Amino acid sequence: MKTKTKKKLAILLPLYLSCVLSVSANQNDLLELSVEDLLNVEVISVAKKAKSLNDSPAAIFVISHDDIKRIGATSIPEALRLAPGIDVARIDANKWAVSARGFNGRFANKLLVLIDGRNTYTHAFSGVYWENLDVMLEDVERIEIIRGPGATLWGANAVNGVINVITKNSADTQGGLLVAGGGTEMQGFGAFRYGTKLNSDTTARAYIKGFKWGENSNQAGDDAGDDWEKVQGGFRIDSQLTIQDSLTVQGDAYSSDINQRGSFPIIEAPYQNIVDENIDSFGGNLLMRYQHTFSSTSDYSLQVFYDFYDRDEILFQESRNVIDIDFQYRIGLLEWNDMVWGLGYRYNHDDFGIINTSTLNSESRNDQLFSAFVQDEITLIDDTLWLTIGSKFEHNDYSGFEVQPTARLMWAPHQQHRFWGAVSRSVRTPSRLEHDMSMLQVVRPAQPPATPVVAIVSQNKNTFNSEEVISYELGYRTTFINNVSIDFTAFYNHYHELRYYELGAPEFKGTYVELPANISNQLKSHTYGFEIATVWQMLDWWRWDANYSLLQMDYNRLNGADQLGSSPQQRVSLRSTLSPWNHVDLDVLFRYVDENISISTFGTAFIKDYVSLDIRLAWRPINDIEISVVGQNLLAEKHFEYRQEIVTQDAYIDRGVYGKLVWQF
Amino acid sequence: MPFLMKKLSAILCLLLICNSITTAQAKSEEKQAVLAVLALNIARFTSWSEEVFDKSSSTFNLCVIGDNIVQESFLRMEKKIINGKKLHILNRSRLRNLSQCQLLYINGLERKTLVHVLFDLKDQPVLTVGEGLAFIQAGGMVGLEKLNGRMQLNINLSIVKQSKLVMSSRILKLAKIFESLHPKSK
Repeated sequence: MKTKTKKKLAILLPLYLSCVLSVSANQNDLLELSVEDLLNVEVISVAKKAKSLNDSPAAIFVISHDDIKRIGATSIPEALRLAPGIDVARIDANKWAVSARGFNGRFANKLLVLIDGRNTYTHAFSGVYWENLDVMLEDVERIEIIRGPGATLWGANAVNGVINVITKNSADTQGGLLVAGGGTEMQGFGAFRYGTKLNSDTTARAYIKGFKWGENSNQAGDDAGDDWEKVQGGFRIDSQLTIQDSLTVQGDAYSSDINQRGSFPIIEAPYQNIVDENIDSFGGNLLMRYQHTFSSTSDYSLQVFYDFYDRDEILFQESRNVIDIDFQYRIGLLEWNDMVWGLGYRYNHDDFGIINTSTLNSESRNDQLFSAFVQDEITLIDDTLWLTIGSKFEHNDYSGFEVQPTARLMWAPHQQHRFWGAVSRSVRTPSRLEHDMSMLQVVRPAQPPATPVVAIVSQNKNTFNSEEVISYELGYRTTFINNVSIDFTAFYNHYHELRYYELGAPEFKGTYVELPANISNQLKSHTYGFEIATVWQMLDWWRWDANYSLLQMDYNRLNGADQLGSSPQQRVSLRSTLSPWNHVDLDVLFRYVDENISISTFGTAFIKDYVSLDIRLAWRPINDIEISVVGQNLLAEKHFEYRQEIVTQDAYIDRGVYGKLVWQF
Repeated sequence: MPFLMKKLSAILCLLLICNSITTAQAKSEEKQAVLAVLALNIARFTSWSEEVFDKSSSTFNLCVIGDNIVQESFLRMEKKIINGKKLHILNRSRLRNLSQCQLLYINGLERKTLVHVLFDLKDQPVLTVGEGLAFIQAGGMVGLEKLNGRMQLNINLSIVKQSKLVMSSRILKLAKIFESLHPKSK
């Protein structure tokens, strides 16, 4: 029996392979046809994704509008799970830890996130409040993800990656769109967008959306107290003033009610208070971008945005206002140069109110950032070899002057092969809280007879400097097998001056001993690994995407991992995108995430590896209406992905199912 | 293990059948291959004035803006003979020296850039071919569009005439004709 099946396989496998390899149209036959016959040939458009090779000398991955829709993502972090090498962990219903190539955390600080060119990073902790970031997902054109340093173009904090969310031009979102649905975890949601033409050269759209997400469970299976609600609205206007001048104005505003169960240390017994708190968070932004085009190889753009947010938590209240001005000039010099240079200015104003177990040097601060960059892409051999060199120069109020250069080489020896390599230096500049805030982190009860109550207080100081990394990357992309593309990237990152808290001399404070944890730049680390993204367009109506990433993190001190934890070493995702009929889609996403170690003030969490399965079934009874059912995290009733560094208590992410209706008119 | 092998071979059988179904489907052809051959055929029925072709030149420059898939579909036709001249395929994705092309095939440019590329070629004898009605609206000459599973020709005759190209009536008869000038002059 065994040999029989083996024989069968031996016959079928080569047959199948030859079948796959012979699908391509024979163009020579087509050349024999007359124009009239050519116009009568039935044409199939095999999805481009399986064969298109990106020409960027960087580890770039694009999540399309269709990908976001077809996986049933309800937020940007959920969509990011489709990308290789991106570590997305859900902490609770309203918090995420997202990073690339290690160092993940709720307060991860090495990934830069932009929405339509607007930098969403907060100066408070040099990271991103993911719960504040949202867009009308139906209007997203694509999400570009660059793993590895992107500092030369985007500036400090693009240390391990850049995520660029790009929404559609309002000319492409004309008419109405109504979204409504609900389910077990995503309990209810709705969105409405309307796009119209204001005059012959100007289009606009406006949207409003809202949702309520229910509570997850804690380890015991009780409610985790992490439900949240959010309402957001916004608009975008695009105007083509002349053939050379275009103007975009856009803005959003949101308000959310975030619930969390938090733990706060206190000096007296029971040494911590566990409180169900309601965080009131609101914010908004307004952006204007003007572009003038001289020719198809030369243009300039000026972008100005204002962004504000306000959060009211027990730990601190914060309000922040940012004004950012960016100018970019692109020019094609001679026949072999494409140069782009730019200037930037950012102004930050913040106001803090803090809990009495913390201290802050000044409750309000104004910070400025000046930056300039230049980058040149030089063609060394026509259509074959390109060198990109450039650097960012910036000055910030905390670490002063920073230089972040890069050199990248792209080699295209054949239409089906691309090789690239890069060496870059990037920095992660100190955040406001690392510079100015001291905080009671944890209180250890007395252990009679000898050990008294010990309070560990993190002491942040203005002596903290930028963290630095030198990155080496090598990449290869190919489509040498018909309808298959493979994208491989290997990297080695050498970090130094990383943040490290060193315990100082204990000080007796009457009833307890205070142990200071002083901030320093003493930690070094190197990380290495590789990422593979493959796409196989098996049939015109059935595509497979498979990603694998491997990450190894080493520290110079034995206890480096005790402060920074350890990201999952291996991540696997397998996705099937199937449309058996024109009006039916069936999508399946399977993921494996390796074990990881999360470090928190209430103990280190060794998080088990897990598998997860998401399935989406969609049906379009008529062209403009789509009904879908999405199941998320189907393989387990609940699972644990990440423990937050401070405050938030563990939440186990529940299995969820929701239904959705989309009507376009 | 034998169970697994059995399953595996069953899946392979299924895939094999699925694949033969798609290949058997009414002799359908991949879109990009058809587009490339169509572009070449349109050139066959277009005439350029004498001064455009250096008499000594024996090549016809067919320039292509697009990714590897688009480039490859044209490269397969390199060195074919068109109007008595040898076809020379040039990758012009970096948007340089476009006026040296006799035919320029454009794919995947953002609308803003597309409008500029086409505007810069205004009055120049370069046959511009792209995809969809949007290409015509941006100032292109021939927009190939997929309608009901077949390709349709859209030709902007005003722009063709402006560039002093002449298209044969055989092509014009097969096409949907538009007459509009470049969007918003400088």
